Amino acid sequence: MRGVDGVLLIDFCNECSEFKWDCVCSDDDDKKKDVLGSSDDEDDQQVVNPNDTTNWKEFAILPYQDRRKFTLGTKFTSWEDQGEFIFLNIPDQRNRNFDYSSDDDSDSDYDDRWTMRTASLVEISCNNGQYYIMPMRAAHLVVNGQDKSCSCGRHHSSYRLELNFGDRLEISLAPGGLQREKITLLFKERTFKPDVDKDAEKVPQEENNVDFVPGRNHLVCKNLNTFYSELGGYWILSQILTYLPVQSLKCARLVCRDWNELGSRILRKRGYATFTFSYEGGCTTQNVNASMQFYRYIQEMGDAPMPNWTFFLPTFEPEMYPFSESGFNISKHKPGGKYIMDLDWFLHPNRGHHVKRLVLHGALEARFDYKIFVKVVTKLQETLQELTLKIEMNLVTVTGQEIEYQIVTNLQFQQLKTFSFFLVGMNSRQSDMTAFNLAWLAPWASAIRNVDSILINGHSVLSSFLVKHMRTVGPSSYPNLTQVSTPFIHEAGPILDFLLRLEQPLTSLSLPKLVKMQDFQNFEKLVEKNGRTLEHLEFVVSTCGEDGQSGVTLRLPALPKLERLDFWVKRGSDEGVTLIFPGDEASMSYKAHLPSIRSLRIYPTDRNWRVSRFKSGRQYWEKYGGFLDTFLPKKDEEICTTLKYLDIPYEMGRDAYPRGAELPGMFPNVENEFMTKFRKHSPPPPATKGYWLRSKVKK
Amino acid sequence: MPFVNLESSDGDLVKVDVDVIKCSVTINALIEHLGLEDDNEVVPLQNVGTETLHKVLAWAKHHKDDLPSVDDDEDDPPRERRTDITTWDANFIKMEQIQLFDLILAANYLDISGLLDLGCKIVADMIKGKTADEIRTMFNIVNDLTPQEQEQIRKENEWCEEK
Repeated sequence: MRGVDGVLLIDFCNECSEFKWDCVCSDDDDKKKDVLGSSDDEDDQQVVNPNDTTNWKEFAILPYQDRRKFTLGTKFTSWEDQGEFIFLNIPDQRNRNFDYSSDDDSDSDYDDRWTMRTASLVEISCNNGQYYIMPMRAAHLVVNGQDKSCSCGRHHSSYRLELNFGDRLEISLAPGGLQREKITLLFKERTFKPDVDKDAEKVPQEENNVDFVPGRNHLVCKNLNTFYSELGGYWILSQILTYLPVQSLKCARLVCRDWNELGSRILRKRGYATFTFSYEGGCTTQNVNASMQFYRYIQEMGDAPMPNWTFFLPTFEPEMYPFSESGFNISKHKPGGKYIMDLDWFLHPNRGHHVKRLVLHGALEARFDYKIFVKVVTKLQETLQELTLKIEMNLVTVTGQEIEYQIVTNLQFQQLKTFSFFLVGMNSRQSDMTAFNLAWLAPWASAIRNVDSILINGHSVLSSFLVKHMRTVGPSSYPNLTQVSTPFIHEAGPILDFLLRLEQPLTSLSLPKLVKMQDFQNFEKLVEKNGRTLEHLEFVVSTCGEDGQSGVTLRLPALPKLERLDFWVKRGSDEGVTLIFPGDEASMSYKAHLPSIRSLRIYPTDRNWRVSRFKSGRQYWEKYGGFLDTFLPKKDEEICTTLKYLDIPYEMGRDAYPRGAELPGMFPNVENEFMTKFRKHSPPPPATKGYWLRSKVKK
Repeated sequence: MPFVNLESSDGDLVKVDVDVIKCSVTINALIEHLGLEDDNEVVPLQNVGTETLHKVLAWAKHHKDDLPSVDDDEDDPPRERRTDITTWDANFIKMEQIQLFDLILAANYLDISGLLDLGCKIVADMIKGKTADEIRTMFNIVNDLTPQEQEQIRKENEWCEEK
């Protein structure tokens, strides 16, 4: 018999967003209650409206499956004994007073006995469409205010009660315990998120250009079958659905079977299955039962596995703190240990995963965390096409030495096309980092040889170590690499050197800040070498003048395929920065130099500069307006029709870019908001004579 | 051959600059396969009415200098496709829904990807933010999903998030 899924909700504190068991705000209330008497008093029982779940958060989903068992308790022993285990954070009186320095074996024996007695407190089982609950030997169970422990005080294996939606459960180790030692749960029918977030996805009425009248749309309606057949299947509908955001696609799946089929196909490609260890909805407590989601995923998605995953790994607490009551302690019986066991089960090749895209987040505090992190990757590596690693890592010991993380030997990505790498350090000083080796990165550099796209980001010094290891592997080992994005690494020299030694032509480049004369020279060589193939070019020029250069002039070749150019200046001085295209023209010829350009982002200063740095916006334009002028089409060319997107500092304070009024005519297909503004309003006052003089381009 | 005569399903002839209609893969193929060599030859378009044809040509004329589309790969869209619409297109597409669907059908038949994308974006905009019930009402669709199937879809949906 099929049953409806149940869910356990738990009371949480509105003030600190913690569950009541971890909340300190409720201490005062609890103390008052302790003085007044135990929770068994009728006056102390709250009347629960089963439909009012305002202060309740989802604690554990109990998917219905005939003959399935869940156990709620304090210690995990085994799947065989307990079925699916759910940790309850009831403080363990035994451990509170434990003497960690004692070697007395009797403590260990007593601990084992305690563990066995309190491990399982309540069992919930499924049978014939009904949930049942059974208190275990060490538990005291109150259901809807009524004591349900057996009157004889003993545990009977046949003693079970029907558990119904709306039931309120109070579970404690012993009768009359403190409020903090009692867990209160609400058992409800499982509900799902609203199909539509009206606020998030509402399309303003003025944006709707077509009035739809229900029933008049023959897109898929009155002659649906004819329409589909006319279109040779569902081609148009599938095209329409590809323009929907994920949430709308979910709704589309619920329309009918045809829409479900098309929508689910698109969703599986675009959406990500997310495995996290945090509760949803503002609760900051770690979900020590996070591994329950592995089993549920297999049960619910077994027929339609997701190829894209986002995986947040918890930080595991090492065994040196075996009695820690929070987080993912990895010792026996603890949440961390169970999580790792469940993870092993989940990632087993027999589960049939075929993950193409993986985003893996990890806060790695110790070698053990890195070991689990690597395990997830290696278990999935055969099918991965895109891999994003987001790592926050503890890199130094307490004595300041670099932690030597494991150098793994089994990393190999045969199908990986795109690799993104974000690394930041915990508690590390910049001065320490430059002396690091990060040898653990070497296997990663070697394993990504087949990629065609790489993004390296994160801490500027740390992320540069991956480039260092890639140089060691050798540029010729990356024969498919054509797209490289390393905008934030702290030195341009090594990456420019690496890129110059690649044999294949590049299509996309996002480079770190160019500072030294050598950087500028190598940049020119690199762009010259790849001029015919580049489709995207992003670079930053610094005028900090480390080599004492006066002004920067960069020569670029014609870039016939370039569609996107992002260029800005990091200001260390007001020295001029000039781009010169072939022919040393005073301004750009889009037809000759950038015939395919679609997007331009040009900033003569840092993008976050404000007019407050100057006396007025006018002063800003006097200094830097000429820089922007060089990107305006030549007079005889008149317009650049290919450009669709233009991002410039179009106004500083109240002063608009002096030649802004000319932009709509020069770039007629650009639709930015400021362009609309320039189109609607009359041209600004004529620029000053001084401005026009400065706008001339240096040759 | 700078011009071609297109014959609508209403039997009307419309003379068009070949440069304008080059965005249509179908017409290009017809010109090639029919071996048309002079300006008096006629390309029959049995699935496109005169009014719709004029709209298609207005769109094609405005976009004749556009570069080839570089939109996302339709076979494997890893993320939501771009939905920006230019002001000109937004004004162009303001029409009765029946005309819009005729235009979408015509764009599909003539294989003009830019125009088909525009029509699809507009319809997608209308679907955004609507419940399944509202979508069914809008398109007069009968719900043939069982409650169990709907529950299973909701379960699967909970596993699916944006990146």
